[in-house]
Amino acid sequence: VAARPSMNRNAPNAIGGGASGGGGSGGGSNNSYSKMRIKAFPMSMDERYVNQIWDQLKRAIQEIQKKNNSGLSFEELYRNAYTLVLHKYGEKLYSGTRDVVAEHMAKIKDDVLASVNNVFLATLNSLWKDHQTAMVMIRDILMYMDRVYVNQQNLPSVYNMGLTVFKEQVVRHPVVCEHLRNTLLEMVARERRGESIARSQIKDACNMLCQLGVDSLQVYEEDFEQAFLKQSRDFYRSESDDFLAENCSASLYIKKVESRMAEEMERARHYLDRSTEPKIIAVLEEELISRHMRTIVEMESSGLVSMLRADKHEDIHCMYRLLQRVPDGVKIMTDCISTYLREQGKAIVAEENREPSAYVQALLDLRDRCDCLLAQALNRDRLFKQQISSDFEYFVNLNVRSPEYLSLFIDEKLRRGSRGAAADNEIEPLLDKCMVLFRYLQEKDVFEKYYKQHLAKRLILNKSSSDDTEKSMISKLKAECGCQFTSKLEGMLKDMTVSNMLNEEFGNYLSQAGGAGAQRSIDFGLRVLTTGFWPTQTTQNKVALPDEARQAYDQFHRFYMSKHSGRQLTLQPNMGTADLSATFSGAPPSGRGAEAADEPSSTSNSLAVGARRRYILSVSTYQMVVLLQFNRRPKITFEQLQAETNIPEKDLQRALGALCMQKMASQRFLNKEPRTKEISSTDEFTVNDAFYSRHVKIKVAPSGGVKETEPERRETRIKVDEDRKYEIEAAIVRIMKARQTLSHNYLIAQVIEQLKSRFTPTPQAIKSRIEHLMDRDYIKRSDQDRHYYQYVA
Amino acid sequence: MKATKKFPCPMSTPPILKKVIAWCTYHKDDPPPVEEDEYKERRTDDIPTWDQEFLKVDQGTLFEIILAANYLDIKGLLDVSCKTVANMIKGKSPEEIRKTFNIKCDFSAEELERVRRENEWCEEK
Repeated sequence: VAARPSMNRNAPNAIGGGASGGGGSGGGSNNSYSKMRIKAFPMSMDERYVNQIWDQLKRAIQEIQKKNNSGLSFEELYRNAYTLVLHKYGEKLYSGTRDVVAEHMAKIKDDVLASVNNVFLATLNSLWKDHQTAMVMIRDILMYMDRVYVNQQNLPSVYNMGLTVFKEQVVRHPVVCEHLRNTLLEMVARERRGESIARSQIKDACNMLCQLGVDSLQVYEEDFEQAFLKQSRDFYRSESDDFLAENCSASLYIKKVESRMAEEMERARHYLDRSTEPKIIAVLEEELISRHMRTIVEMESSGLVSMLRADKHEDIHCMYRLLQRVPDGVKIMTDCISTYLREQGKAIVAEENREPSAYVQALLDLRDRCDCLLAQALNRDRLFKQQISSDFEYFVNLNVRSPEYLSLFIDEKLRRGSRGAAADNEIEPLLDKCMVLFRYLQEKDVFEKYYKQHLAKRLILNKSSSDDTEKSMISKLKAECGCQFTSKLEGMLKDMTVSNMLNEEFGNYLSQAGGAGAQRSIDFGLRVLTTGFWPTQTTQNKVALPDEARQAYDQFHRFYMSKHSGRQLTLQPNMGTADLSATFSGAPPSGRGAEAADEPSSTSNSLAVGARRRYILSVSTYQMVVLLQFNRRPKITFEQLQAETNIPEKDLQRALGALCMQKMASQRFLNKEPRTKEISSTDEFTVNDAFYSRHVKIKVAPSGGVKETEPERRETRIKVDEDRKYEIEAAIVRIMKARQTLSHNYLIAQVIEQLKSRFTPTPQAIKSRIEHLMDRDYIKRSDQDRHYYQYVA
Repeated sequence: MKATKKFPCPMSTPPILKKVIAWCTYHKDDPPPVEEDEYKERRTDDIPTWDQEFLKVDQGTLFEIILAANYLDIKGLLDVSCKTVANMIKGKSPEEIRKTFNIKCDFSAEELERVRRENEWCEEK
């Protein structure tokens, strides 16, 4: 460089706005105060000098592009560019640079075109890399221009300008553009077929396209990504169609899809731009999953239903994971599972003559299977949970006897000594599972009725295996339904505790009272039941108790009245039990006798042939009354029995039935003449002296736990409906009292809302209750509007 | 960062460069500057004390420092030195400014009067 622009220090001059001339004008006013050393504003350079500087820069740029930059001085070039811009030649510098770059691009383009049939991608990539390096260096020396001129003029920065030129001249050249796209697509297609390809080359090429968009991915998208997605879509569409045509296995297909998805994800992460990943995944989801999901779920012999049947949780889990990705995927699964489940459930509840415990157990097992499925295969997905619950609710309530059966099942588990009684540590979780089923019941009040009955039997017959378990079950019901449901049940339990205490006190009372009339002739215990709590079976009749029993009862009655004067005690003969000592003195039937003769006579259970045999019979109160009649007379007719004992006919028939209807002669306590199936009033009864049993103590009284016969069930149903009427009315009155005035429809809705936790009343039922209440002046129709009701205070 | 290479810097003089280097050394642990918000209010009263002391030099030196900072792309130094000059201008009448910077008035008397009248409305009364 020949001359430098002189920066005269001491020239006095003005700091003007523009690059006005006036350098070095005269010495006149020599304003050289020491603190005011003004620098000359850079004067304009002459044309020649400017061109010189520019030429130097131009050559330097070309050298850089030829990778010959080692001999250049960075500082000098930087300074030259600085000078040009400072002297307002920024425009010349900028456009000049652009021209030089463009010129160079033409050469690059030619090189690229030449390589089209031979190492095209490698060539393009390497030329691109060189261009990047060159542009960085060019940008560095022109940094001042970038900072000042470019910003002021709102032009693209030097580097970005270089990108744009490269894009326009090289990459977007029609031949290059198309060839690039085809090359890339073909490589992807080959890799999908299983061949291995030069991944780094694609990576570099995609990188290049991304950068060429400057601040956006537009170039990448237009030049490559769109075509890539389209090709992928076509490829996977046909691949999935072909696969399904050949293989009819849902789980195989799912595995194939999973592997393809993993492959594409890896591909996108590895050598495409990251933004492509979600797009290609979306294509796969659409082509591979959405389009075929119904097919694979419903596939014969390998679809979801067969997986469910075989409990193939792994496979179901894979299917779930896959279908989760697309909208409605999960819904197809829930629908399918729901259909299957309902079918299974219906099969369980529809089976006639199934034992209640087997029925309930089957339901519990099904529920367990569902829990397992949810946990292992479906990730406890809420949608499935809800669907399964609603399915259970649906089929559990298809059979109206479900509440009764559930109560019987629980009864069996809580009863001591029954076949199905559960071990201590198993009972709690089992009861919890029963509660799950309980929640599905829509007629919870029916369950309540049966539960009360069964509980009463357990308590009275002293059959519960554990007080704590009973309490625990009641508290579970309480937690589910509130205290109203369980207050009576709790009362029943309490009565038992109180009765035990009473018996003790009675014992003390007797021993204290000592002498007169205090002798207890028979051993007995009493249970006092509060009337409201227990299932209503009050009988008012006066059964003719044998004297011993009568005396004992009177004693207790006196004792009780002395404690609670305001109360009334009524004996309930239909609920009690008695232990009788019975002696049979006849010969047992011949077969038996032969056996007995072979037994050694020393054991306590062996009795000599023909000797009197004494047994202890555990019977109901009615049966006790009947049997004791035979102490007075050996032969009695049914009619006579009825007259003597005062037992209601049905109960008498039942009591006698248990005593005389056994098949084998040695099992009968009484003989009935004639030996018909029914008991009629003229039948005659005698003691069966041929009775024989290996045990000393024999139970005759039924121990409960039997499901109701059809007539009994109808009776219970009637009672339930009766109770419901009261409950509906109570609800109506409650609501009307609170609201005073209410429209008909709204009242109906409110009533249903309030009662739905126990049962679902029909609008007609509610309507008839409303009319009933209107008749009794609890509510009336509003005068203004017929559809409104008013509360009558 | 260690200095690795020597390079010539004919755009400035040793004393000025020394000042520049002194400033850079003092500020070497400064956090990187925040991206400048175009709409943020620009102030001149926030020059750190050390910098103020540092820039108590004659005008010539001050302007040389500005030029050097501009060339070497040292934003922090450029800012505080320009702000210093701005403070020298603030609050002065045109005549006072001319006096401070020794600017020759190149308006004729009539032009001066015209400009003053045109801008009368800005002046506080």
